[in-house]
Amino acid sequence: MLTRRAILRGILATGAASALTRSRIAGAVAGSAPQRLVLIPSLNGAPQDAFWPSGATFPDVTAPLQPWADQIQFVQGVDIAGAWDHMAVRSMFTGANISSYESPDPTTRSIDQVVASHLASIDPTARASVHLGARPAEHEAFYQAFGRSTFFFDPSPVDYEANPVTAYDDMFGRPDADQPDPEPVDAALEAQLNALTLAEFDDLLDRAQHAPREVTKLLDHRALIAEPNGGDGLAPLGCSEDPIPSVEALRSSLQGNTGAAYDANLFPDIMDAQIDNLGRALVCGLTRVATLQYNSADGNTPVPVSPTLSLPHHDTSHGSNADFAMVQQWYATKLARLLTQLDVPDPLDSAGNTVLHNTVILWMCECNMGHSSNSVPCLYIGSAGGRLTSGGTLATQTTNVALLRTICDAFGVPAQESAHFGDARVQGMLA
Amino acid sequence: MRSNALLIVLLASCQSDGCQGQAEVPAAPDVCALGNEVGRPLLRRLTRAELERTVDTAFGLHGESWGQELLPPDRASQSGFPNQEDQLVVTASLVQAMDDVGASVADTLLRPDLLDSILPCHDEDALACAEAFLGTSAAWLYGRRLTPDEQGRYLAPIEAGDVAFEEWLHWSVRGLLRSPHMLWRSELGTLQPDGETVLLEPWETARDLAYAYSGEPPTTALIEAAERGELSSEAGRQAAARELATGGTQGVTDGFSSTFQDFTSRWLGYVAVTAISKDPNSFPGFDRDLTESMLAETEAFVDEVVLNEGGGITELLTDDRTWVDPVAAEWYGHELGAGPVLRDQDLGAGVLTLGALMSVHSTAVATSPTQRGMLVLERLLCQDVPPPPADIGELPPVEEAETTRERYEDLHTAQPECAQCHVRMDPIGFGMEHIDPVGRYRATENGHEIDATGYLTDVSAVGDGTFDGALELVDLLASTPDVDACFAAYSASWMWGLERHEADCLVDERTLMRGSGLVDRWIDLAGSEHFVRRRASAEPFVGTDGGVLPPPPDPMDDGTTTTTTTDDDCGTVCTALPGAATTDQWCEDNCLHDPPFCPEDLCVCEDVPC
Repeated sequence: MLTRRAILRGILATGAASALTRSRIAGAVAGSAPQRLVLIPSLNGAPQDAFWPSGATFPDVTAPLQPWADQIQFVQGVDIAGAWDHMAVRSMFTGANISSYESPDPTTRSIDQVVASHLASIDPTARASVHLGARPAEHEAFYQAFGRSTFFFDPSPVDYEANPVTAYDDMFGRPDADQPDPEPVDAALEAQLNALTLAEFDDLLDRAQHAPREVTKLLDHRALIAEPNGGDGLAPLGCSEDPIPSVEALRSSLQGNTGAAYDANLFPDIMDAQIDNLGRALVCGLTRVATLQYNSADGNTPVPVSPTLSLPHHDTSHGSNADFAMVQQWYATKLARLLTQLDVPDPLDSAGNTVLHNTVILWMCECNMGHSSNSVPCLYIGSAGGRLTSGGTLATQTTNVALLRTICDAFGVPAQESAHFGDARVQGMLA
Repeated sequence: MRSNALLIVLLASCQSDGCQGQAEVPAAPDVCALGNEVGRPLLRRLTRAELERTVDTAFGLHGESWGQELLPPDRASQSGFPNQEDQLVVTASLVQAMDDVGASVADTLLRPDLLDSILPCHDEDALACAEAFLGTSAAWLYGRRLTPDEQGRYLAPIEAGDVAFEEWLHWSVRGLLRSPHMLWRSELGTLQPDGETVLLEPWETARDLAYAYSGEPPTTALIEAAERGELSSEAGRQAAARELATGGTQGVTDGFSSTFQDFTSRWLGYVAVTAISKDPNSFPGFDRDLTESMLAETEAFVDEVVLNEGGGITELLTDDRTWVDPVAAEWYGHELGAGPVLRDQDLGAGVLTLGALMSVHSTAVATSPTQRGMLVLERLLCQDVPPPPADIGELPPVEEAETTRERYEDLHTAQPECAQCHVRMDPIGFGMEHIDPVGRYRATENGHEIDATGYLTDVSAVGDGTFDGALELVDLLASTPDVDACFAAYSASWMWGLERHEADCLVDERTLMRGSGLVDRWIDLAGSEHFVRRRASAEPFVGTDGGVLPPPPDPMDDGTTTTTTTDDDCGTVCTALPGAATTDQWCEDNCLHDPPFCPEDLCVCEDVPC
């Protein structure tokens, strides 16, 4: 069985003229960390005590992110300048004043476009930026309508792709259904190796019978060996050119069917597929700027917080804190899925850093549960190649535009290109 | 007008605000009450550092690149230790990484130059060569000899003649590096007939000692010594530990030095100094070069005072020398000469007041007596401090022309609900106020005299007392038996991979020999029965602020799907217009929202009388 590393070496060695390879070569600028920016708006806030950590332990909403604690910086005290409530959807990444839903669209560029333009001028990739959605509106007809699902501007609204099958085919090319799977190097030998490992697990399990907690550790480990992708797609997909399983699982439903991408029943699967699309695009250097928007500010997409319970997003945000914490925690598990994808050695970085280290993912809400846009839940993950501090909480009194300006600084964006975010910076954020 | 800088100071301090309604310090678990010396049987996953050294040693690949960068980082526990057993889980990422590492190591071994030197027999009798390989490299990886069954499984393909030696080598290396026997350090032992006592296997004790005192897998000699029963006695284990730590010399081995330095940097928190930043306007020049110099200074201090000179707690806290490079010397204003620099007494003494610790335990713009006080309380005195409440409330206005001490006293002492915790922390930190947020001496603050008086309270009778300045503070701490005990507790936590309270209960009182060097104290821990025996019914420690992470919320598993209804049968009812690309629910939500959003081409609302 070819390992991911071998596949990567093979692709580079043959110089195959695929989008992936072109982007990889383009991205490997000597002497510079291949920084990446990811923006993921989170909607309707979160219960305060379930979002912000006290001490080193993350509470319910952010608990799925605990494994990456040392790469996460919580930013307290961020006010959305110039807007409030869900109107802040169009303000949070642009800095524009949006006083009502009827306000005209911003005339300034959102930070993703600013950073993408800058990176394109110094280190172009196949795609300047990638924009994906997972049911980002209640209906296909609401596409970019009513200020609910439009976060990014250039300054015209930036298009997003809500259909993961379309997104995959567009970015990576439609897989050839007639092409057979590549044969493993020696199937019998691989099977023998797997059997050997599982036999060793059995031996160790026998020894551990008097220690039930340790048996659990072994069973969890054994399950990952027996089912390499863990059954839930949590293994990094890496930079392979193989089809993405979560996308292929949706192909029959979504191929050529834009409206179906807004089917609430498909939301969880679409979310996984878009995460996996995003991860591959970033890891392989297809793009270095990406956004993912899920649900919409007032959208009632049912969120499957457990195998037997789904909660409508918007209505739950007006309900009990405990219920909405479960909703936001579910999104955090999806964010963790992305982090798993990115927590791999960066093929574009000869220094051996991970993609996650070279990335900054901004996860920020447009408002609190009470619809105030002061002190919104906000964190970033990754350090943009060591340019940003991480591993704690910045206690600040600042604005979203100061945050955006500071991120621009981290990416080396010239002052005149980010001036519309103002002159303020978030202290303690730049490393 | 309040400056952001001052506000940040107050916000940071108020993060530690308020112990109102917080849980009390958790009670010690039952094992302490029973006076037991041993803990529970365990499987401890190798840390990233241990994996690297194990692969290097097993295959003789020191200095070679074999895919080390593929190994994912370890999670740190609440104490900042990355080797705690409950945090070292096996994830899908690690499984993938070990598969890739296995292939990469195998590719490296198959380089002609390496293969000829590591396995010169590869051109001869393939089966004999395979047996020899398993007898050496596999034994290093597993920490013991392979059983006949295990050996048989690995040799089966080559015995059957199915593969050439090189292909078998690639295959078997991948198998060894994904093996649970390699990845997990077994402390399972064998349950005895009484159903409670668990005796560790000799090789398990040998493996534990080897990783604890050298960071590397056990040698054949150590395993054989264990099999002869030489590690079953306290003296035997301590002798083995001394050999591992010192190599029979006056100093310490590289492996022990690396492990001890890693422990100290995380015990006292200064490992983070290269990741922090300060306000560039207030502290220009506080950059990566400087923080790396500070880290090097602290490591050099530990190296000289503790590892080379055999220093103990007293020396760790009160030695007035420092070893700096030109970058750090210029920063502090030290004059470089031959040998160490004698620090000015105003800067205090010992590791606690070195630049790295003082910088880490400050904010971006100011000192933090609370953070510095917490460092002493938690890490030197092992006193648990409850976390601050989530809602800290409104901040009082900042007065101009105040010292940090005055601001903290106004904020914390004036409010009774804050004072009950902060009276324990802040007075300790006040003693270090002559050391600024970036580790330098300051005579005044904003032109005002600094009051560096403070006190320790709630420690042993010897320890309670007042001080004026950092020098008197560290002298007082050095005379406090609590610091000795706390060092032992954290050392045990590190060595056994257990949460600190749980490990503390396993420390033999006899190891608390004041006056001994810290290296000797670590070696003394090898005499603990925990290295040879466990208790089957022992439970992990569960604290209110650590030990075991809280589980995710339980789902309401009643077999039904809950839907939230927002509509009433009367009042303002909004519905979608026929043919509109929306739903009644959307109209209900948006038209009745505050502020409302109700496009006339989508929705219609009417008042329905009740």
